[in-house]
Amino acid sequence: MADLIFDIKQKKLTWPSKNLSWNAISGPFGAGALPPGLYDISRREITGYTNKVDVPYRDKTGMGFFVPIYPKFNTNRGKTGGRLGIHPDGNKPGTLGCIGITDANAKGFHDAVRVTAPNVKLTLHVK
Amino acid sequence: MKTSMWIVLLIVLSGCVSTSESAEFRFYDAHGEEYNSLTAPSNFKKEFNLDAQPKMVIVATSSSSNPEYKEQIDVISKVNAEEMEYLYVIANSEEEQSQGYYMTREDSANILEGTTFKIIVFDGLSKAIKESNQVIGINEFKNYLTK
Repeated sequence: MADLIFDIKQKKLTWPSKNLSWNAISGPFGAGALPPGLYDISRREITGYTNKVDVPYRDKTGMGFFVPIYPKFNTNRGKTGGRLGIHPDGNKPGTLGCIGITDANAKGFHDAVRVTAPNVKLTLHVK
Repeated sequence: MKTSMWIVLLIVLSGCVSTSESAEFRFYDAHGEEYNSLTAPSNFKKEFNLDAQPKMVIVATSSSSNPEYKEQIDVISKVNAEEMEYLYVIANSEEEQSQGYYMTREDSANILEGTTFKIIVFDGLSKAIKESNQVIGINEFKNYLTK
């Protein structure tokens, strides 16, 4: 079972073992929502929670982050038009296929990933 | 005589309709959700709380190895879809490309009308504002998206 689950229809990103959840979306721009399947969350590559990230990756506090995700199945998504990842849904509502956390403050997600040991493999199930 | 007049009138009327009406087509997303082009932009606006109804682009090809198709996808990848508020649908008559928005093979063949490549740009009301069998370059593409 994956560590995190993103339910497209429910617009919820959950981390069941930590009893955490966030409101989140994917799409509708570009090629639309993330394809269903299993993804690796690149814990080691998460940025700091900072105002140095691009505006589309910032929450309403003006701070933000980006953590890449990598499909564990064959797809051309993420190979053109930018990497796939999880970030606050800043700027205009909607994403190009990334998971955009729509909560006004997304620091909780960032911190939950950040406190996870870097050698732990985090997985995400998109359904 | 009366019948032929009716036929002429119908042809004239249908010609008017085709230039003023929005285009209706079906497409799907990576989760198999079906969309209708007439309602999708307003539904997306409501669902995602967008400022405007997103524009749509169909990129139709007879093959994913078609050089014009590849070139057009390269152009699209360089024009930020979130910033320009558009989504693109792949209409591939050879195979359904179900990792993003896509059309069935049959509908793709209908869009192509015997050609090997076509791009159609729609405004937020699903009205076609540009149709071409040639690749549309970045600047021209951006111009249509800002109309």
